[in-house]
Amino acid sequence: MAKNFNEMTWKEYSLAFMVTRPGCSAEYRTGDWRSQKPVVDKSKCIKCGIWELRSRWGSVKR
Amino acid sequence: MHKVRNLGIEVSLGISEAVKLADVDAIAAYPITPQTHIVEHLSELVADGELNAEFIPVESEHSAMSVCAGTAAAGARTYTATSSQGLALMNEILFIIPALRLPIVMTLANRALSGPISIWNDHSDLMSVRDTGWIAIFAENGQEAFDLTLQSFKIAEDHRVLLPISVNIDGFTLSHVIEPHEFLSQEEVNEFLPPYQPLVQLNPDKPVSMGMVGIPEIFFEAKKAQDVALIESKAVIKEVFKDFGDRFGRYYNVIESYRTEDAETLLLTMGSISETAMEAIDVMRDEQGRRVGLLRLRLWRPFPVDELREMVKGVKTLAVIDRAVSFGGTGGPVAGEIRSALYSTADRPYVASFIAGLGGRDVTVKDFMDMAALAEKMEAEGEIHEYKMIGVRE
Amino acid sequence: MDALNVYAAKLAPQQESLAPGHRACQGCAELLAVRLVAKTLGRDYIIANATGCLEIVTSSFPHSAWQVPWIHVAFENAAAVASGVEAGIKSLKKKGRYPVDRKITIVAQAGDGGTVDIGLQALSGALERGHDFIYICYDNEAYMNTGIQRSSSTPYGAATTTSPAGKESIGQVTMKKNVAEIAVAHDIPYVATASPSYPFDLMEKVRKAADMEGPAYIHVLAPCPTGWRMAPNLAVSIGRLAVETKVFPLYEVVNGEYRMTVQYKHHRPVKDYLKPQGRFRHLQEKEIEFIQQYVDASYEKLLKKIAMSEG
Repeated sequence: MAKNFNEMTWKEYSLAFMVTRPGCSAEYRTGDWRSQKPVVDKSKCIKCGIWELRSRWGSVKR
Repeated sequence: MHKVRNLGIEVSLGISEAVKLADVDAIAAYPITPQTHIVEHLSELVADGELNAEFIPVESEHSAMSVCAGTAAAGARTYTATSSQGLALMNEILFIIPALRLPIVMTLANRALSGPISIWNDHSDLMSVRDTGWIAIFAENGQEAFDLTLQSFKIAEDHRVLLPISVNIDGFTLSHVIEPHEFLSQEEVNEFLPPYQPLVQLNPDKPVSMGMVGIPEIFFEAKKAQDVALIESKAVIKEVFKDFGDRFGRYYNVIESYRTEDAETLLLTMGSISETAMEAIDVMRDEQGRRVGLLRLRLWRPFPVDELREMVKGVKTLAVIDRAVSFGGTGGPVAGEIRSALYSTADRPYVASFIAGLGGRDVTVKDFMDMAALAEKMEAEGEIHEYKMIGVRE
Repeated sequence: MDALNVYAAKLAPQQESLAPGHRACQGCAELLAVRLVAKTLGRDYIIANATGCLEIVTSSFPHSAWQVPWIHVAFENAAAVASGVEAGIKSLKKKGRYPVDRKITIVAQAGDGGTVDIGLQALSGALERGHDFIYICYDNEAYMNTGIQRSSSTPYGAATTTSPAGKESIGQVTMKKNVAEIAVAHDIPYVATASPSYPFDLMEKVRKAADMEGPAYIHVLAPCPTGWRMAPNLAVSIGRLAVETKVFPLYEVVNGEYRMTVQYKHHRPVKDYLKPQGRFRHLQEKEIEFIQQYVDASYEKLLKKIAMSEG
């Protein structure tokens, strides 16, 4: 994107302000508001896959 | 020459035939007097296999408009019809449809809003949704209702427009009367109105998200874009009117005029009372030699400001007849618009605001003649007023 | 989906249709459940979303977390919008103007407010009309998005901002409305309760609902750390305790036949479920005993329906 979305004029937005790039929220940085940060101890990983299912953000991958 | 079929038929049925000829894909509606004959006939057409569409008999008007949002977003040509309390129940969703740019066509059989509860005709229902962002068009007879229903699909679905339209017909006084119709053939309609090609639709092949949260950084821009879309739709409306006229010989205008040449006084109406007003004009012109004429506002939204300014040039008195009250306001809703539109123009006419025909009260030829005379007297005396109710027992 | 039958997490589908970057609170079990639904249905589904937490955290312009078609219209009409999408596509398919070669699941999703209160009429209408869709209620037992006000899904004894506990009140004084049973009363092919604390059970139910012709209703209990006044890391274990204490039994009703899908030989007392939650902190022994009796009675009622189905 050339311009930030909050600098565009009304003419430059998509029809009805639809979002046509599926899943583009991935570009949005979350986490800077949190007070605790999880730390993964990879030495304990038995590759069960549970945490992949347990993450709300899909932040744990195999 | 194209093939035509002439038929005397109830106006509601004529509208249903137009919807059938438009080959709509989906209809969602809830029954409400006086819209019922339209949806009854449409469900018959679907049941008989004459119309290949999904008819969704919803449990409320709120759901009717919500289902329409779903069908239109899926890319289906969508139709509904309602009236009065039903429109009021839809209110919340009515605002969202134009913001989502969904081209739904809705017949509005105009009926008074409660209370006291009334099933009879006036325009208070439409006026209550004035600022929802819909295109609003008036038909004054059966032929116009048929023609405008067909044209509405073409206008709404034009990619330069993509906005919903309400086609207004007066409840009972128009919806339930039998009138001569000149129908079009399926081939003619197909040529005029090809199937709806949605610009965007809900399809997993190309996912989109519709109806996003409008944070303050973009909300204002969203509203601006919507406003411009509605204002600019007027050019497409005129284009479709012309195309329709060229094809079928029936031309429509955003404001229609009747015997306005050299007129000093104009009456201005919307809807089916215009036919009575025309009779009054004939009497005043032909029997009394008075220089009076009639303007019929066909397009209520977007409001045709330029055309109005042009058409009232040189006119001394403009009597606007409203069929709704803006309680405690400065004039009838239509008169208020017209005063605003003319205020900044030089040599503007004196605008008299009359409210008549609420809840099915007849507005007679004599009423129109009286209003014309009263408006001229008020103009001559420079009477300052907000609005006057005509035909109420004082 | 056969892989799910072996209950091995690592065999669960890898595909995601809910992208990261959404703004859910830490520990949100609703988004956890949504992601499990998304994993189950892959890319062949369309969502009609009601206004609520889920809608605002996933669709703040210009960012959408959805990788499937998604539409939000208003608060109380997700079921109606979903019926429209279903009917519209059905019509277009008949006319050859929509791809016919794949089955697309239509999902309406809403919170408890959008389902049990303001959306109940639209839900009932859509279930009655028999549209082929899944309605999923993510029930966090109050209007969390507007600041934890009580809904008719808030359980007895819970303190919310409009059912506060005080000298004259123990908080919510009414019983939780049982919308799963209301759905069953519509004689639809599939109704289930589910919990993100039991991911395989939830995913199997979503799969079944999608494969079924006609309307399906799934009621998901979604523990909300913010509204239930508990630590974010407790959401999953509280969801588990809700089942272990019989507060929220996991069952399904297939064509009117009841079946418990998660069974425990011994149940824990409701106290274990209530205690970690701040919204129940004010409850005295007497009220807890009352809740225990109510939970036992409700569970017995459910067992009878299951027994009748088996009999």
